[in-house]
Amino acid sequence: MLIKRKHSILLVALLFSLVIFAITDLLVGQVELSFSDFSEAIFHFNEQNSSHVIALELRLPRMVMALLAGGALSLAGLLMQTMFQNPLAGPYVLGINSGASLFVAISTMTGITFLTSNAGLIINALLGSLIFGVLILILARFAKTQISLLLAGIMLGSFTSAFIAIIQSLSHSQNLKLFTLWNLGSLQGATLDELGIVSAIVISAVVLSLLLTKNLNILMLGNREAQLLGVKVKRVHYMIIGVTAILAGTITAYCGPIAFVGLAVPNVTRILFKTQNHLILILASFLIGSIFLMSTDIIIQLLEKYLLIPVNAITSLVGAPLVVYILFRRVK
Amino acid sequence: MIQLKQIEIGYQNTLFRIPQLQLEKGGVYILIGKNGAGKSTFLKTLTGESTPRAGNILLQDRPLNEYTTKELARFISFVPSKTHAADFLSVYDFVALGRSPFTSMMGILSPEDKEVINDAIENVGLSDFIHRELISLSDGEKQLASVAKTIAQETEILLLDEPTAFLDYSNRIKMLDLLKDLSKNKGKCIVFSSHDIDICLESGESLILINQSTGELELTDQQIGKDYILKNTF
Repeated sequence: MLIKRKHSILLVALLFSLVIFAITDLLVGQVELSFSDFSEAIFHFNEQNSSHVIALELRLPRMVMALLAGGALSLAGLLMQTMFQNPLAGPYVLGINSGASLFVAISTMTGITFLTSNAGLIINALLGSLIFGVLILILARFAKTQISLLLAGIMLGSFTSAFIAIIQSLSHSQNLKLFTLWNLGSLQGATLDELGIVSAIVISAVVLSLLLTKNLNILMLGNREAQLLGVKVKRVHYMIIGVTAILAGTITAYCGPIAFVGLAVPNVTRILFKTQNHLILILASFLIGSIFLMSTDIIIQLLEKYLLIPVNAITSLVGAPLVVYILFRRVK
Repeated sequence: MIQLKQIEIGYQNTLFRIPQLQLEKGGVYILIGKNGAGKSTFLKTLTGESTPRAGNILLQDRPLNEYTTKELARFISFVPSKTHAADFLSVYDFVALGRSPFTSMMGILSPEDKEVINDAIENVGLSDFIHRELISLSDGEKQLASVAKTIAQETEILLLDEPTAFLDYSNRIKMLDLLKDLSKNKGKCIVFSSHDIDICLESGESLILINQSTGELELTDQQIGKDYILKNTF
C-alpha cells in the first residue's frame, strides 16, 4: 500500500503534539511544578523535598501510564476492528476487559495474598483477557452480522458483571474497597519500576503488530479473500487476539477497565488519515490514543482542586457520542 | 492445467459427479446451473476451500490438497460475486493487495510490483479511478477492480462467482470481453459461473453444464442449443 507524503507529515505533527501534551501533563496539577523541579528531581533527588517526590513518584508515572495505556488500548481496538471488519469492535465492547475484571475480582476478593500482589494481578488480568478473547473469536464464527457480534460481546459483559456482583456481595469490605477503586479506573496504579515492565510489554506488542501489517491489510478484504491471497487466517486470528489480550490485559491490570479509548481512537485515526494501510494506522492510533488519554489526565488534574473525576467518566463523555456518530455513519 | 476425474462434489450429499473434465490454459469455461445446483461449491472445490466428497483434483499433475495456502494463491485467484469494500481503501491499494502472495513479510511493493499493479488497473480501464476510494465506485466498477486485483495476482487460473450478476447489460458485455481478452492474450484459464444463458450462448465460449437429469457435469460447445440447456439444467 502507498504511503503518501500527507501521511508522513501528519505522523510527525502527531509526534510533536504528543511531546507538548506530555510536558503539559507533567506540569499541570494541584501543586505547580516547573521544568527545573523535574531536572532537579531527576539529577539530585531529595526525599525531603516534596516537589521532587511529586515530580518523580506521582506526575511522571501518571504521564507515562497515560501515554502507554492510551496507545495500547487504541492499538488493541484497531486490531480487533480489522480482524472482525467491524468499526465498533474493541476490547471493552467485546468483553475482553470483562474477562480481565472477572479474574481480578476473583483474585482480589478471595483475599489470597499471592493473588492480590501486583504480579498476581497482572497474571490474572492477562489470563482473563486471553480466555475471553478466545471466547469472542469462537462466538464470531457464529455471528452473521456486525451487530450480532457486538451484542454477543455486550451480553458477555453483562453476564460477567453479574458474576462480579455476586462475588462482591460475598467479599469483605476491605477487599471490596480495593476492587471498587480498581474498577473506577486510574492512571496512578503503577510505580516507575512497574512502568518499566509495562513499557516493555507494550513495546513488544507494538512491534508484533507492525510485523502483522501485511496480514492486517489483507484481512480488510474478509476472511475468505484473505485465505485466497495466501493468508493462514486462523493462525493470524489467534496471533491478533493474543496481542490484543496482552495489550488490554496489562493495561487493565494497572488502570482498571478504561472505556471507549479502544473503540473511538482507531475510527478517528482512519477518518483523519483516510487510509487502510495498517503501518500508518498502527502508529497513528497509538499516538492519537496517547494524546487522548494524556489530555483526559490534564483535564482531571486541572479540576482536581474542585472535584475528583475518574478517568472513565471523561473517556465515556467524549467517547460515547463519537461512537453513536460512527454507528450512524458506518455500521451496516 | 486442472484435471478432474471421477469426482463427487458436495458436502453431506453429493450434488453432482464429474466423470472427466480437463480445464486448459487459454480456455474460458462458463459454468451453468440452476440455483442450489452447486456452482459455488464447485468453485470452492477448485480453490481448495472445500474438498470433493470423492476423487482427487490434479493441478499441474499434483493433487490440489497437497498445495499450501500460499502456493495456491500463486496459481488460483478468485473474484466473489460482490466486492465488499472497506472505508478509505483506494482502488490502487485494493489492487495492490493482489501482489501479496509475492511481496515480503512487510508487504513492501517493489518497482516491478508497482508496474504490474498499474498495468492491471489500465487493463480493466480504471486508470482514471486509481486514487478514488473503492467504496465510491459503482458495482460494475468494483467488479472490474476486483478483476484487476486478480490480474495483479498473476495467476494462471482465474475463477469468478457470477461476475455479471449485479451488472447492467453494457457492463456485462464489458466484463465478458475483458475475460475473453485475458484468456486469449494472457493465456489464462478462466472459469466463471452464470445463470444468464443468452449472454453465455452469445459469448461463443465452452459451457460446463450441471446436468440435472444425469447428475453429472457436462462440458459442451455452443452447438448444443438453448433448448437442451433449459431442459437439462434448469
